[in-house]
Amino acid sequence: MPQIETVSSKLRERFSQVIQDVSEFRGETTVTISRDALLDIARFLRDDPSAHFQLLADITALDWFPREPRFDLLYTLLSFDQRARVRVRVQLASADANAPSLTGIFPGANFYEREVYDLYGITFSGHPFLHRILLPDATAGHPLRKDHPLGYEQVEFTHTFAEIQSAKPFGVAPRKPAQVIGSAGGALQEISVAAEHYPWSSDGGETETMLINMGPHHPSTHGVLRVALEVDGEKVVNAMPDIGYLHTGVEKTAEYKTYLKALPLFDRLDYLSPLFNNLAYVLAVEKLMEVDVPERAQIIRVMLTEINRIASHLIAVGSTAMDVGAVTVMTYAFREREAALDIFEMVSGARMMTSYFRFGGLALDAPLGFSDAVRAFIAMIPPRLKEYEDLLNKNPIWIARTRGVAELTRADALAYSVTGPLLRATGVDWDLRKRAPYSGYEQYEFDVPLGARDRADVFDLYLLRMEEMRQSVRIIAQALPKLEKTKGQPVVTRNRKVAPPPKEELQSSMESLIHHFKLWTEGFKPPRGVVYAAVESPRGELGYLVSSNGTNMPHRVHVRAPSFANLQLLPVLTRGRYLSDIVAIIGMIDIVLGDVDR
Amino acid sequence: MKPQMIKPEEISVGAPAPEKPGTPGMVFAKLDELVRWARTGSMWPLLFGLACCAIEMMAMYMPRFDLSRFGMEVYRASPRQADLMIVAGRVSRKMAPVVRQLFDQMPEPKWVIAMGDCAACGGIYNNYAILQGVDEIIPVDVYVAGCPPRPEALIDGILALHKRIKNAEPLGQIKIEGLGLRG
Repeated sequence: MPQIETVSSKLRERFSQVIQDVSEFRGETTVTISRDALLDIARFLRDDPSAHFQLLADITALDWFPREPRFDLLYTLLSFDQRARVRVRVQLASADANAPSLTGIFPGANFYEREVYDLYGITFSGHPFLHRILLPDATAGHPLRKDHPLGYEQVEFTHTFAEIQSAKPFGVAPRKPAQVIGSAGGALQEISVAAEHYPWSSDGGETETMLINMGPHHPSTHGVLRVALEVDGEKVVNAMPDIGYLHTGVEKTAEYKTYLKALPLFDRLDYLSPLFNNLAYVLAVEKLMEVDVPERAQIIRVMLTEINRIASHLIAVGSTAMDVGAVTVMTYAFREREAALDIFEMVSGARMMTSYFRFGGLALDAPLGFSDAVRAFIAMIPPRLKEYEDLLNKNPIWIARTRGVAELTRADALAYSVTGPLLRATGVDWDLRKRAPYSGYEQYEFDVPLGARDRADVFDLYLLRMEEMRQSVRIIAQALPKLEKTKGQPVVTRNRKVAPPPKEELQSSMESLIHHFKLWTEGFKPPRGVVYAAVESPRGELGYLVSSNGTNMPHRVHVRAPSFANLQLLPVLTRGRYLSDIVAIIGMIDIVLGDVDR
Repeated sequence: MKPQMIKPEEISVGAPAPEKPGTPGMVFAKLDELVRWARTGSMWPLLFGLACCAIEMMAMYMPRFDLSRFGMEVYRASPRQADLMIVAGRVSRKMAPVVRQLFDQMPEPKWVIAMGDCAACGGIYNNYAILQGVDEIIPVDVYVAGCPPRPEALIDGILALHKRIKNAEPLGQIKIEGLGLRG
């Protein structure tokens, strides 16, 4: 990318003192700078017309224990004009793991910096509210540090039973009666709703405000989201999302598995769109290993992810409608979703967690009858979408609950690192399938629906998601003839570094048998380096940052989760609105808690 | 275990045994059966989802699998109105106190189904964040395997629970620990 070079040369010119290194790996630019210049460079990259990196896509860290400086702090910035990303790296010593906070320049840095603090113990000076975000407050240590144990629990045998039981986090509970365990002082403490845990926007105002706890057990928070609400009568003064109730530690577990065995972990993050998680991770590792993917595999990948997009958007529309009272839509949405799940089951045997994409292609070819099933699916969807529109578009209750609710402005969307349908609803033409095509998306003809204004409400998001489903149908329809044309072609790469030898070779060649065995037991060893690959998931930019240290297990896998960034909008959108609007706004943001908490 | 008939000569409380032998025993046995039948026929699950399994749980009460065939389509969002908790998904250490509190708030008699591998034993996530089985904090009656289990598998688990309830200990015995499979 020539423009990136002009930016980096400009950076070198202006900040020659502070730029330590500019490196290129697999087409990704990493600029290493000294900590003191971080704010200046971030401001330059955002505001300079030649750079114009408007969106802070991600912040994460790498721990190179026992090397010093120990931590790499990685900032990923995204430029719409240049269609490019730049990664800014700041190295921090373990004795002084502190960096200036970017929240003054990119408000969206808020959650990311809290996450890095929570998982790595790196502090950010100037952050408005630097507390743990994913783990309980009382946790000891920072789990993603390399010297922190995985917390693995051994299998129970009779000779280890007592030892393992005594190490359980909550003691051995079930044998005691309920009343004893529930009381204060036991191992299980009630979660705190104390006001000092939350930064209140108003203190000593005219009227007294009230603290309301919403979730983590609430039917309309789409999972285990907890929102601490400060209300003045029916009006929301402040809404503070409290997340981490589904924190799974996937990123830590992945460091203890080979590249292939880590794959099924990621299906279960964003459980409404598991195939996108597969695809993004597989693309990242393919980039790292420089693997080619056969055309047929790419076509099937596109078809399945688009079917998944439809299934996911159906739930987004259906659950929003259900939360504001239109239960029928949800029932219909699940009926259509079953048809999508049937196709997943057909190709992989699993309804939801397919783990069907592999490095260099697919696990196996699509079965007989796949095209017919897909053809029936895309013939069924458009008339069914019409049914939804008949139910909703002129429904006075639906309109009253969504029209004009939650004014999302373009400035807010950019400031809070929002991607996906929310960003496009404010008129920003940014869809990775068009702007940074992967898996052969450049060969398909489709439109990216955009919001007409620079602000969006819940109703706009509903319309946009409906249109995106129609466009997905269009893409799948174009993929079908391509699938016929590539019939009989391989679906996995010939690159034996990542793909096993074909079955028939195993029976005749000893070398192939050994190779096969080594590949499944040890895996492969990618070169050292950091890569990032992103796909356009139904919720926005879903990216996987994979760092390799040359061994057969990843040094770090970081998931750039779209829901995590998008959730930061909740306080912005709900402020000043009615209490009952919150459920509609959560539905509009369309979070999946597995994706938020990881 | 079939409901036991009480023989008239065993009744020693209060008035002397009635003239007609067998009548009181018959009444008691039938009531027992009747109550259990009512419990299994109108179980109200808690509307409570954690992760991926919750989506399959939702699919279960949607038209295709149609849980209302078993009188259970009324999901209650308040634990005080529910008598079955389906732990659908992985339980993190941050979530564990919440799960326990919800369980404590449910009125007796109550039952728990651990849906999926994560709720049963931690599943593929054996690390610092996830509880290795929800039975560490609440007593579980039925475990359903799968990642996630198919809706049919969950229905099978519910029917297994119904069977257990119909064959459970006599009424009047306060159930605290559940039917727990583990010890």
